[in-house]
Amino acid sequence: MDRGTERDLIERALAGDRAAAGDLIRGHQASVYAYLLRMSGRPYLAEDLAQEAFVRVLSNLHRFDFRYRFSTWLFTIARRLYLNAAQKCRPVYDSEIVSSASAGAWYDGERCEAESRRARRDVLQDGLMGLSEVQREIIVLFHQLDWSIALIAQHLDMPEGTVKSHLHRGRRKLRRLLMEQPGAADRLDLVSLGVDDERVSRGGGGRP
Amino acid sequence: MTRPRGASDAHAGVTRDEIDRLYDRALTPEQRRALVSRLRRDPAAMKEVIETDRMVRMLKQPVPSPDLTARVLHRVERRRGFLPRRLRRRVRQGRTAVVVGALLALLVLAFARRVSPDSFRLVPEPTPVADLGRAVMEDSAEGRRVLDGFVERIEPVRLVAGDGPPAGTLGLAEFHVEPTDDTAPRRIVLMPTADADLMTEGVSWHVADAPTASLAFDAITPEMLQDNPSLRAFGSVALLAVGFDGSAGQPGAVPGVVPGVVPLSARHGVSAYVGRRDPFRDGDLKASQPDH
Repeated sequence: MDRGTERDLIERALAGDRAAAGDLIRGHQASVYAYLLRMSGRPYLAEDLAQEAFVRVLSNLHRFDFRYRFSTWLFTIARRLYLNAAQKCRPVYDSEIVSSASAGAWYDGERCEAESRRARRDVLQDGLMGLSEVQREIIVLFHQLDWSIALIAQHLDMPEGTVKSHLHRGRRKLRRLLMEQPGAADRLDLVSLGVDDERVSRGGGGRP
Repeated sequence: MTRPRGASDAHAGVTRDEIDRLYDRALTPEQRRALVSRLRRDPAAMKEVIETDRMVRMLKQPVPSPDLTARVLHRVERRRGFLPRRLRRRVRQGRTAVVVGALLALLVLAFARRVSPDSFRLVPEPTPVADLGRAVMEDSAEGRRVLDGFVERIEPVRLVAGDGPPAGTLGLAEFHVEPTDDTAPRRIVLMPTADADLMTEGVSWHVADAPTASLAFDAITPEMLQDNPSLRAFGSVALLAVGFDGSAGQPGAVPGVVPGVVPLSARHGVSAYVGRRDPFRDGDLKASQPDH
């Protein structure tokens, strides 16, 4: 979606145009959902968080600053929601369970794990979950959503060099993790595959 | 499988940095083509590129996403609603009117409070400290007026000996004051005038300098005196200098005090008796020794 169209949709949504708001959601929901799914490894959580991110963005649309990209704003909110959810889904230690259970409210860590295990049937997701959170996020933003290094650095508030370092390490680790999967060699058929210009450029392509 | 940073073979020399740059989208098309041709002669690097390429393609595969549009719009409408532009403008104007109204009300309240502060006061206004000085002055004037009727009857009875103050200091002065029935002393300031003769039991004191002493004590009403005829009030006195002449009476009645002008540099405690009885005569003072 180019910026002109995006601006038009936002202004119409601000004026009360429900259809424009719907177009905004449809234009970004796939990327936000994919980002949240790859980050959390949990489809239901990703869906809930994506929905909540859109609700928050559309409810505060009058605060949007047109100098920035709508997607950047949306992803910032989605990321914050994900971090909050991840905090709730962190491993619970025995002592914490005892103390929090007596208070009558503790997060169902078992349910988190079960959903996460189901999602890991996806080989790629399994590999991604083996990365550190920051490596995973940078890999997803760069390779899946085609964000530039500069934009990722701005989004994560870290120097570009650090982003590159995480990207390189994460890419190597993910490749190793994928290759360690049972039957990975069959799937990849390494030696028989040639590398032609087109394939390499496709792999390294994306946004200029 | 893992190549060290910058590693290359002897023929092709494809480094890890170059592979990283390839996937960082940092190579020009020419550089990319050159790299690919060199990769054909570097099986290890080729393998790494193939694996990475496959991984990147997996990452780029679209993720099936649920359609959130209806649910999101429903929640947004419940929370905020999509109002038509005209209606939204009216809502905005309404909000502005409420804010302006609240500000005006505050201004009116502030103005009314300035014009008539007492109408907003639920409890009496406390006396500001700034007025204390004026009150004391007024009380002093009143006290002096009341005292005029007393002066003749004030008898600084004696300087107390006992452990007594050393020569050259005056530690304690005791005064016996008898108010008249129709007088209600509230604040009494004793300022004996110069050349006054103050009588005590068997000793007369002559005030050589004025003011020799000022004494203030708390409010004592005739009613209080009726209940407790020998009511004792404590005050403090700043004695700058007391001049006395013992030769008029019996010099040496106060041991250690040499007749003459005795300069005092400190504040000294004073106890004063107000009542219809003479505490010295009636023996009230026997149990009570002066405080130093």
